[in-house]
Amino acid sequence: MIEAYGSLYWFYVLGLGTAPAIVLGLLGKRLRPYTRVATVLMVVLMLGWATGQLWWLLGFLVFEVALLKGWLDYRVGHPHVNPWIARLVAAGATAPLVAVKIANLFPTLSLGFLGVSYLSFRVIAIVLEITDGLITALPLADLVFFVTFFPTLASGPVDRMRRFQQDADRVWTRDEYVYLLGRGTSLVLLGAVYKFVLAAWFTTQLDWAVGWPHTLAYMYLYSGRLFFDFAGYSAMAVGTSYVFGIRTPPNFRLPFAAESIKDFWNRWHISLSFWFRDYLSTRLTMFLMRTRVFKGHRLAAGRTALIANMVLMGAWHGFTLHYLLYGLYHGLLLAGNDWYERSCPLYAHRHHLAYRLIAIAVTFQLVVFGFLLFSGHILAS
Amino acid sequence: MDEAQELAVLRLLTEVCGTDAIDQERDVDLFDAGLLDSLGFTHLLVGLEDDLGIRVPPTAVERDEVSTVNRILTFVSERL
Repeated sequence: MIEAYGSLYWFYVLGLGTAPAIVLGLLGKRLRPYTRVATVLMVVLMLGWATGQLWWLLGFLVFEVALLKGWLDYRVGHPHVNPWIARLVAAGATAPLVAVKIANLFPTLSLGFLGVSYLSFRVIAIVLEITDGLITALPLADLVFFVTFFPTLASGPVDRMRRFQQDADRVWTRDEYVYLLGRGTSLVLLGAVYKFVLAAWFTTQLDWAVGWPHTLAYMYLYSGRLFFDFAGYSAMAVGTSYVFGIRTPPNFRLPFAAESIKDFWNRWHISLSFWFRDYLSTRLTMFLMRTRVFKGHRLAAGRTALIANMVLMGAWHGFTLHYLLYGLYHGLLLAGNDWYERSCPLYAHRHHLAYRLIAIAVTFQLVVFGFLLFSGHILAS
Repeated sequence: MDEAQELAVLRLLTEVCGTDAIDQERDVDLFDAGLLDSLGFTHLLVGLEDDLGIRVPPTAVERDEVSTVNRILTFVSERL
Protein backbone atom coordinates (compact mmCIF):
# COMPACT_ATOMS: atom_id res chain seq x y z
CA MET A 1 0.00 0.00 0.00
CA ILE A 2 1.37 3.43 -0.90
CA GLU A 3 0.40 6.78 0.55
CA ALA A 4 -1.28 9.13 -1.93
CA TYR A 5 1.01 12.06 -2.83
CA GLY A 6 3.26 10.96 0.04
CA SER A 7 6.44 9.55 -1.49
CA LEU A 8 8.69 9.49 -4.55
CA TYR A 9 7.41 5.99 -5.30
CA TRP A 10 3.87 7.38 -5.52
CA PHE A 11 4.96 10.05 -8.00
CA TYR A 12 6.79 7.43 -10.05
CA VAL A 13 3.62 5.31 -10.26
CA LEU A 14 1.48 8.41 -10.86
CA GLY A 15 3.79 9.50 -13.68
CA LEU A 16 3.41 6.09 -15.37
CA GLY A 17 -0.34 6.17 -14.77
CA THR A 18 -0.92 9.65 -16.16
CA ALA A 19 1.27 9.33 -19.28
CA PRO A 20 -1.43 7.56 -21.35
CA ALA A 21 -4.03 10.14 -20.20
CA ILE A 22 -1.77 12.98 -21.36
CA VAL A 23 -1.25 11.32 -24.76
CA LEU A 24 -5.01 10.76 -25.18
CA GLY A 25 -5.77 14.31 -24.05
CA LEU A 26 -3.29 15.86 -26.46
CA LEU A 27 -4.81 13.82 -29.28
CA GLY A 28 -8.25 15.19 -28.33
CA LYS A 29 -9.59 11.73 -27.46
CA ARG A 30 -12.09 10.74 -24.79
CA LEU A 31 -10.32 10.29 -21.44
CA ARG A 32 -12.90 8.42 -19.39
CA PRO A 33 -12.34 4.81 -20.53
CA TYR A 34 -8.66 5.05 -19.65
CA THR A 35 -9.31 6.96 -16.41
CA ARG A 36 -11.57 4.11 -15.27
CA VAL A 37 -8.78 1.58 -15.78
CA ALA A 38 -6.25 3.86 -14.05
CA THR A 39 -8.65 4.35 -11.13
CA VAL A 40 -9.00 0.60 -10.54
CA LEU A 41 -5.21 0.08 -10.65
CA MET A 42 -4.41 3.08 -8.45
CA VAL A 43 -7.09 2.20 -5.87
CA VAL A 44 -5.64 -1.32 -5.58
CA LEU A 45 -2.13 0.14 -5.13
CA MET A 46 -3.29 2.71 -2.57
CA LEU A 47 -5.25 0.26 -0.41
CA GLY A 48 -2.87 -2.66 -0.89
CA TRP A 49 -3.59 -6.36 -1.36
CA ALA A 50 -2.59 -7.52 2.09
CA THR A 51 -4.40 -5.05 4.34
CA GLY A 52 -8.00 -6.16 3.93
CA GLN A 53 -8.97 -2.61 3.07
CA LEU A 54 -9.96 -3.57 -0.46
CA TRP A 55 -12.63 -5.90 0.93
CA TRP A 56 -13.99 -3.16 3.16
CA LEU A 57 -14.13 -0.81 0.17
CA LEU A 58 -15.90 -3.44 -1.92
CA GLY A 59 -18.43 -4.11 0.85
CA PHE A 60 -19.00 -0.38 1.28
CA LEU A 61 -19.62 0.07 -2.45
CA VAL A 62 -22.05 -2.85 -2.69
CA PHE A 63 -24.01 -1.55 0.30
CA GLU A 64 -24.15 2.10 -0.82
CA VAL A 65 -24.87 1.34 -4.47
CA ALA A 66 -27.77 -0.93 -3.47
CA LEU A 67 -29.10 1.78 -1.16
CA LEU A 68 -28.81 4.53 -3.78
CA LYS A 69 -30.33 2.43 -6.56
CA GLY A 70 -33.19 1.34 -4.30
CA TRP A 71 -33.82 4.89 -3.14
CA LEU A 72 -33.84 6.26 -6.68
CA ASP A 73 -36.33 3.60 -7.83
CA TYR A 74 -38.58 4.36 -4.87
CA ARG A 75 -38.27 8.13 -5.34
CA VAL A 76 -39.14 7.99 -9.06
CA GLY A 77 -42.31 6.08 -8.20
CA HIS A 78 -43.29 8.42 -5.34
CA PRO A 79 -43.49 12.14 -6.20
CA HIS A 80 -44.18 12.95 -2.55
CA VAL A 81 -42.01 11.12 -0.07
CA ASN A 82 -42.44 11.04 3.67
CA PRO A 83 -39.58 13.17 5.05
CA TRP A 84 -38.90 10.57 7.76
CA ILE A 85 -38.32 7.86 5.15
CA ALA A 86 -35.87 10.22 3.40
CA ARG A 87 -34.05 10.85 6.70
CA LEU A 88 -33.90 7.12 7.40
CA VAL A 89 -32.25 6.50 4.02
CA ALA A 90 -29.75 9.33 4.65
CA ALA A 91 -28.97 7.80 8.05
CA GLY A 92 -28.47 4.41 6.36
CA ALA A 93 -25.95 5.93 3.93
CA THR A 94 -24.11 7.51 6.89
CA ALA A 95 -24.08 4.32 8.99
CA PRO A 96 -20.79 2.86 7.63
CA LEU A 97 -18.96 6.11 8.40
CA VAL A 98 -20.39 6.27 11.93
CA ALA A 99 -19.42 2.62 12.49
CA VAL A 100 -15.84 3.36 11.42
CA LYS A 101 -15.65 6.43 13.67
CA ILE A 102 -16.89 4.42 16.66
CA ALA A 103 -14.46 1.58 15.88
CA ASN A 104 -11.63 4.16 15.82
CA LEU A 105 -12.21 4.71 19.55
CA PHE A 106 -11.01 1.15 20.18
CA PRO A 107 -7.38 0.61 19.13
CA THR A 108 -7.82 -3.14 18.77
CA LEU A 109 -10.60 -2.85 16.18
CA SER A 110 -9.44 -2.27 12.65
CA LEU A 111 -12.41 -1.32 10.58
CA GLY A 112 -12.74 0.81 7.48
CA PHE A 113 -10.47 1.87 4.70
CA LEU A 114 -8.63 4.88 3.37
CA GLY A 115 -11.02 7.62 2.28
CA VAL A 116 -14.19 6.20 3.86
CA SER A 117 -15.15 9.70 5.03
CA TYR A 118 -14.79 11.34 1.66
CA LEU A 119 -16.57 8.52 -0.15
CA SER A 120 -19.41 8.77 2.36
CA PHE A 121 -19.76 12.52 1.80
CA ARG A 122 -20.19 11.93 -1.93
CA VAL A 123 -22.78 9.21 -1.36
CA ILE A 124 -24.81 11.17 1.23
CA ALA A 125 -24.99 14.16 -1.12
CA ILE A 126 -26.41 11.88 -3.83
CA VAL A 127 -29.07 10.55 -1.41
CA LEU A 128 -30.21 14.09 -0.63
CA GLU A 129 -30.23 15.17 -4.28
CA ILE A 130 -32.31 12.10 -5.17
CA THR A 131 -34.73 13.13 -2.41
CA ASP A 132 -34.89 16.65 -3.86
CA GLY A 133 -35.56 15.30 -7.35
CA LEU A 134 -32.30 16.74 -8.70
CA ILE A 135 -30.77 13.37 -9.60
CA THR A 136 -33.14 11.24 -11.66
CA ALA A 137 -30.79 8.70 -13.25
CA LEU A 138 -27.81 6.88 -11.82
CA PRO A 139 -25.96 4.57 -14.24
CA LEU A 140 -23.91 2.08 -12.21
CA ALA A 141 -20.60 2.71 -14.03
CA ASP A 142 -20.90 6.50 -13.64
CA LEU A 143 -21.77 6.21 -9.96
CA VAL A 144 -18.84 3.93 -9.08
CA PHE A 145 -16.44 6.03 -11.17
CA PHE A 146 -17.48 9.22 -9.38
CA VAL A 147 -17.31 7.73 -5.89
CA THR A 148 -13.91 6.06 -6.34
CA PHE A 149 -12.17 8.59 -8.69
CA PHE A 150 -8.62 7.96 -7.46
CA PRO A 151 -6.97 11.43 -7.42
CA THR A 152 -9.36 12.61 -4.69
CA LEU A 153 -9.98 9.25 -2.97
CA ALA A 154 -7.78 9.65 0.10
CA SER A 155 -8.78 13.07 1.46
CA GLY A 156 -10.91 14.91 -1.07
CA PRO A 157 -11.69 17.56 -2.26
CA VAL A 158 -15.33 16.45 -2.16
CA ASP A 159 -16.75 16.94 -5.65
CA ARG A 160 -20.45 16.73 -6.53
CA MET A 161 -21.87 14.13 -8.87
CA ARG A 162 -23.83 16.47 -11.18
CA ARG A 163 -20.77 18.72 -11.62
CA PHE A 164 -18.32 15.79 -11.94
CA GLN A 165 -20.53 14.11 -14.52
CA GLN A 166 -20.45 17.14 -16.84
CA ASP A 167 -16.64 16.99 -16.96
CA ALA A 168 -16.55 13.19 -17.21
CA ASP A 169 -18.95 13.24 -20.19
CA ARG A 170 -16.88 15.77 -22.11
CA VAL A 171 -14.35 15.14 -24.82
CA TRP A 172 -11.88 18.01 -24.48
CA THR A 173 -10.41 19.52 -27.63
CA ARG A 174 -6.62 19.58 -27.90
CA ASP A 175 -6.47 23.28 -26.97
CA GLU A 176 -8.75 22.83 -23.99
CA TYR A 177 -6.70 19.89 -22.82
CA VAL A 178 -3.43 21.83 -23.12
CA TYR A 179 -4.90 24.38 -20.71
CA LEU A 180 -6.06 21.65 -18.28
CA LEU A 181 -2.67 19.95 -18.44
CA GLY A 182 -0.81 23.21 -17.79
CA ARG A 183 -3.02 24.14 -14.88
CA GLY A 184 -2.93 20.63 -13.46
CA THR A 185 0.84 20.38 -13.67
CA SER A 186 1.41 23.74 -12.00
CA LEU A 187 -0.99 22.82 -9.20
CA VAL A 188 0.87 19.54 -8.60
CA LEU A 189 4.18 21.44 -8.45
CA LEU A 190 2.78 24.11 -6.12
CA GLY A 191 1.30 21.41 -3.88
CA ALA A 192 4.61 19.56 -3.79
CA VAL A 193 6.42 22.72 -2.63
CA TYR A 194 3.74 23.29 0.04
CA LYS A 195 3.88 19.73 1.34
CA PHE A 196 7.51 18.66 0.93
CA VAL A 197 9.26 21.98 1.54
CA LEU A 198 7.08 24.21 3.72
CA ALA A 199 5.06 21.67 5.73
CA ALA A 200 8.26 19.63 6.19
CA TRP A 201 10.03 22.70 7.58
CA PHE A 202 7.23 23.42 10.05
CA THR A 203 7.32 19.77 11.14
CA THR A 204 11.03 19.94 11.97
CA GLN A 205 10.41 23.13 13.97
CA LEU A 206 7.61 21.48 15.96
CA ASP A 207 10.15 19.15 17.59
CA TRP A 208 11.47 21.74 19.99
CA ALA A 209 8.09 23.32 20.79
CA VAL A 210 7.13 20.79 23.46
CA GLY A 211 5.76 21.48 26.91
CA TRP A 212 3.73 24.35 28.32
CA PRO A 213 6.23 27.22 27.96
CA HIS A 214 6.25 26.74 24.20
CA THR A 215 2.47 26.47 23.72
CA LEU A 216 2.27 29.77 21.84
CA ALA A 217 5.06 28.79 19.44
CA TYR A 218 3.47 25.36 19.05
CA MET A 219 0.16 26.99 18.08
CA TYR A 220 1.66 28.97 15.18
CA LEU A 221 3.97 26.20 13.99
CA TYR A 222 1.22 23.57 14.13
CA SER A 223 -1.10 25.89 12.17
CA GLY A 224 1.59 26.40 9.54
CA ARG A 225 2.14 22.68 9.18
CA LEU A 226 -1.59 21.91 9.08
CA PHE A 227 -2.19 24.45 6.31
CA PHE A 228 0.78 23.63 4.08
CA ASP A 229 0.34 19.88 4.50
CA PHE A 230 -3.36 19.80 3.64
CA ALA A 231 -3.35 22.65 1.10
CA GLY A 232 -0.36 20.92 -0.52
CA TYR A 233 -2.15 17.57 -0.70
CA SER A 234 -5.31 19.28 -2.00
CA ALA A 235 -3.48 21.20 -4.74
CA MET A 236 -1.82 17.96 -5.90
CA ALA A 237 -5.17 16.12 -5.87
CA VAL A 238 -6.89 18.91 -7.83
CA GLY A 239 -3.95 19.14 -10.23
CA THR A 240 -3.97 15.38 -10.90
CA SER A 241 -7.75 15.52 -11.52
CA TYR A 242 -7.19 18.22 -14.15
CA VAL A 243 -4.71 16.00 -15.99
CA PHE A 244 -7.51 13.40 -16.17
CA GLY A 245 -9.92 16.04 -17.49
CA ILE A 246 -11.90 16.51 -14.27
CA ARG A 247 -11.94 20.05 -12.86
CA THR A 248 -12.20 19.15 -9.18
CA PRO A 249 -13.08 22.30 -7.18
CA PRO A 250 -10.31 23.88 -5.06
CA ASN A 251 -10.07 23.36 -1.30
CA PHE A 252 -8.22 26.50 -0.19
CA ARG A 253 -8.30 30.17 -1.20
CA LEU A 254 -5.83 32.20 0.94
CA PRO A 255 -7.54 31.26 4.23
CA PHE A 256 -5.26 33.43 6.37
CA ALA A 257 -6.42 36.54 4.49
CA ALA A 258 -9.98 36.00 5.80
CA GLU A 259 -11.62 39.10 7.23
CA SER A 260 -14.07 37.25 9.48
CA ILE A 261 -14.60 33.73 10.75
CA LYS A 262 -17.45 33.37 8.24
CA ASP A 263 -15.07 34.46 5.48
CA PHE A 264 -12.52 31.92 6.80
CA TRP A 265 -14.92 29.01 6.23
CA ASN A 266 -15.40 30.16 2.63
CA ARG A 267 -11.63 29.80 2.17
CA TRP A 268 -10.54 26.84 4.34
CA HIS A 269 -11.24 23.22 3.32
CA ILE A 270 -13.85 24.75 1.03
CA SER A 271 -15.30 21.57 -0.44
CA LEU A 272 -16.00 20.16 3.03
CA SER A 273 -17.24 23.43 4.46
CA PHE A 274 -19.64 23.90 1.52
CA TRP A 275 -20.74 20.29 1.83
CA PHE A 276 -21.72 20.90 5.45
CA ARG A 277 -23.37 24.18 4.43
CA ASP A 278 -25.47 22.75 1.60
CA TYR A 279 -26.34 19.30 2.89
CA LEU A 280 -26.50 19.87 6.64
CA SER A 281 -26.55 23.47 7.90
CA THR A 282 -29.03 24.88 5.39
CA ARG A 283 -31.40 21.95 5.78
CA LEU A 284 -31.15 21.97 9.56
CA THR A 285 -31.83 25.73 9.58
CA MET A 286 -34.90 25.27 7.36
CA PHE A 287 -36.11 22.47 9.62
CA LEU A 288 -35.57 24.50 12.83
CA MET A 289 -37.19 27.64 11.39
CA ARG A 290 -40.38 25.63 10.97
CA THR A 291 -40.46 24.09 14.44
CA ARG A 292 -42.69 25.61 17.11
CA VAL A 293 -39.77 26.60 19.34
CA PHE A 294 -38.20 28.82 16.68
CA LYS A 295 -41.40 30.11 15.03
CA GLY A 296 -40.83 33.84 14.53
CA HIS A 297 -37.20 33.51 15.67
CA ARG A 298 -35.54 32.78 12.36
CA LEU A 299 -32.21 34.31 13.38
CA ALA A 300 -32.02 32.19 16.51
CA ALA A 301 -32.85 29.10 14.43
CA GLY A 302 -30.02 29.94 12.04
CA ARG A 303 -27.47 30.47 14.80
CA THR A 304 -28.49 27.26 16.59
CA ALA A 305 -28.07 25.37 13.32
CA LEU A 306 -24.61 26.93 12.84
CA ILE A 307 -23.47 25.69 16.24
CA ALA A 308 -24.94 22.21 15.70
CA ASN A 309 -23.36 22.12 12.23
CA MET A 310 -19.88 22.91 13.52
CA VAL A 311 -20.11 20.48 16.46
CA LEU A 312 -21.01 17.76 13.95
CA MET A 313 -18.08 18.79 11.77
CA GLY A 314 -15.86 18.48 14.85
CA ALA A 315 -17.36 15.07 15.62
CA TRP A 316 -16.63 13.95 12.09
CA HIS A 317 -12.90 14.41 12.75
CA GLY A 318 -13.29 11.89 15.57
CA PHE A 319 -15.46 11.29 18.63
CA THR A 320 -12.92 12.75 21.03
CA LEU A 321 -13.10 15.73 23.36
CA HIS A 322 -10.69 18.04 21.57
CA TYR A 323 -12.43 17.65 18.21
CA LEU A 324 -15.83 18.32 19.79
CA LEU A 325 -14.40 21.39 21.55
CA TYR A 326 -12.94 22.57 18.26
CA GLY A 327 -16.35 22.27 16.59
CA LEU A 328 -18.16 23.99 19.45
CA TYR A 329 -15.57 26.80 19.43
CA HIS A 330 -16.12 27.50 15.72
CA GLY A 331 -19.90 27.18 16.08
CA LEU A 332 -19.94 29.79 18.83
CA LEU A 333 -17.61 32.05 16.82
CA LEU A 334 -19.86 31.82 13.74
CA ALA A 335 -23.02 32.52 15.77
CA GLY A 336 -21.26 35.42 17.51
CA ASN A 337 -20.07 36.74 14.16
CA ASP A 338 -23.62 36.65 12.82
CA TRP A 339 -24.85 38.63 15.81
CA TYR A 340 -21.95 41.10 15.39
CA GLU A 341 -22.61 41.68 11.68
CA ARG A 342 -26.30 42.31 12.24
CA SER A 343 -26.16 44.36 15.43
CA CYS A 344 -22.83 46.12 15.87
CA PRO A 345 -22.46 49.63 14.36
CA LEU A 346 -18.70 49.03 13.98
CA TYR A 347 -19.47 46.60 11.13
CA ALA A 348 -20.51 49.58 8.95
CA HIS A 349 -16.79 50.47 8.63
CA ARG A 350 -15.91 47.07 7.14
CA HIS A 351 -14.68 48.51 3.83
CA HIS A 352 -12.06 50.78 5.41
CA LEU A 353 -8.48 49.59 5.04
CA ALA A 354 -7.66 49.91 8.76
CA TYR A 355 -10.77 47.91 9.72
CA ARG A 356 -9.89 45.20 7.20
CA LEU A 357 -6.29 44.87 8.41
CA ILE A 358 -7.38 44.62 12.02
CA ALA A 359 -10.13 42.16 11.06
CA ILE A 360 -7.59 39.94 9.25
CA ALA A 361 -5.26 39.98 12.27
CA VAL A 362 -8.05 39.20 14.76
CA THR A 363 -9.49 36.44 12.56
CA PHE A 364 -6.03 34.90 12.18
CA GLN A 365 -5.57 34.73 15.96
CA LEU A 366 -9.02 33.19 16.46
CA VAL A 367 -8.26 30.62 13.76
CA VAL A 368 -4.85 29.54 15.06
CA PHE A 369 -6.27 29.21 18.57
CA GLY A 370 -8.89 26.90 17.04
CA PHE A 371 -6.08 24.80 15.53
CA LEU A 372 -4.44 24.58 18.95
CA LEU A 373 -7.69 23.10 20.29
CA PHE A 374 -7.83 20.83 17.24
CA SER A 375 -4.28 19.58 17.80
CA GLY A 376 -5.22 18.15 21.20
CA HIS A 377 -1.97 19.68 22.51
CA ILE A 378 -3.61 21.53 25.42
CA LEU A 379 -5.56 18.54 26.69
CA ALA A 380 -2.56 16.26 26.25
CA SER A 381 -0.22 18.41 28.33
CA MET B 1 -45.89 38.34 -11.02
CA ASP B 2 -48.41 40.87 -9.71
CA GLU B 3 -47.68 43.87 -7.51
CA ALA B 4 -48.70 42.16 -4.28
CA GLN B 5 -46.29 39.29 -4.97
CA GLU B 6 -43.46 41.69 -5.78
CA LEU B 7 -44.13 43.53 -2.53
CA ALA B 8 -44.09 40.24 -0.65
CA VAL B 9 -40.66 39.42 -2.10
CA LEU B 10 -39.30 42.88 -1.24
CA ARG B 11 -40.69 42.63 2.29
CA LEU B 12 -39.03 39.25 2.71
CA LEU B 13 -35.70 40.62 1.41
CA THR B 14 -35.89 43.58 3.79
CA GLU B 15 -36.32 41.12 6.64
CA VAL B 16 -33.54 38.82 5.39
CA CYS B 17 -30.97 41.57 4.71
CA GLY B 18 -31.91 43.64 7.73
CA THR B 19 -32.19 46.89 5.72
CA ASP B 20 -34.82 48.49 3.46
CA ALA B 21 -32.08 50.12 1.35
CA ILE B 22 -32.20 47.07 -0.97
CA ASP B 23 -35.26 48.50 -2.74
CA GLN B 24 -33.21 51.44 -4.11
CA GLU B 25 -30.32 49.57 -5.68
CA ARG B 26 -31.72 46.50 -7.30
CA ASP B 27 -28.60 45.43 -9.18
CA VAL B 28 -26.15 45.49 -6.28
CA ASP B 29 -24.59 42.09 -5.56
CA LEU B 30 -26.05 41.28 -2.15
CA PHE B 31 -23.38 38.68 -1.32
CA ASP B 32 -20.53 41.10 -2.15
CA ALA B 33 -22.22 43.89 -0.21
CA GLY B 34 -22.34 41.68 2.88
CA LEU B 35 -26.16 41.82 2.94
CA LEU B 36 -26.74 38.17 2.11
CA ASP B 37 -24.83 35.13 3.44
CA SER B 38 -25.55 31.41 3.84
CA LEU B 39 -27.89 32.10 6.73
CA GLY B 40 -29.69 34.85 4.80
CA PHE B 41 -29.87 32.57 1.77
CA THR B 42 -31.56 29.87 3.87
CA HIS B 43 -33.88 32.45 5.39
CA LEU B 44 -34.79 33.49 1.83
CA LEU B 45 -35.59 29.88 0.80
CA VAL B 46 -37.83 29.34 3.84
CA GLY B 47 -39.53 32.72 3.23
CA LEU B 48 -40.18 31.92 -0.44
CA GLU B 49 -41.86 28.68 0.54
CA ASP B 50 -43.86 30.07 3.46
CA ASP B 51 -44.90 33.41 1.91
CA LEU B 52 -45.19 32.55 -1.79
CA GLY B 53 -45.49 28.78 -1.88
CA ILE B 54 -42.36 28.28 -3.98
CA ARG B 55 -40.39 25.23 -2.89
CA VAL B 56 -36.71 25.24 -3.88
CA PRO B 57 -34.25 22.60 -2.60
CA PRO B 58 -31.03 24.31 -1.40
CA THR B 59 -28.75 22.66 -3.96
CA ALA B 60 -31.15 23.33 -6.87
CA VAL B 61 -30.22 27.00 -6.93
CA GLU B 62 -26.86 28.57 -7.73
CA ARG B 63 -25.95 31.63 -5.70
CA ASP B 64 -25.49 33.63 -8.92
CA GLU B 65 -29.20 33.17 -9.66
CA VAL B 66 -30.22 35.05 -6.51
CA SER B 67 -27.34 37.50 -6.01
CA THR B 68 -29.24 40.75 -6.71
CA VAL B 69 -32.78 41.99 -6.01
CA ASN B 70 -33.64 41.96 -9.72
CA ARG B 71 -32.30 38.42 -10.13
CA ILE B 72 -34.34 37.26 -7.15
CA LEU B 73 -37.48 38.85 -8.67
CA THR B 74 -36.80 37.08 -11.99
CA PHE B 75 -36.08 33.81 -10.16
CA VAL B 76 -39.39 34.07 -8.30
CA SER B 77 -41.48 35.07 -11.33
CA GLU B 78 -40.16 32.06 -13.27
CA ARG B 79 -41.39 29.74 -10.54
CA LEU B 80 -44.75 31.23 -9.62
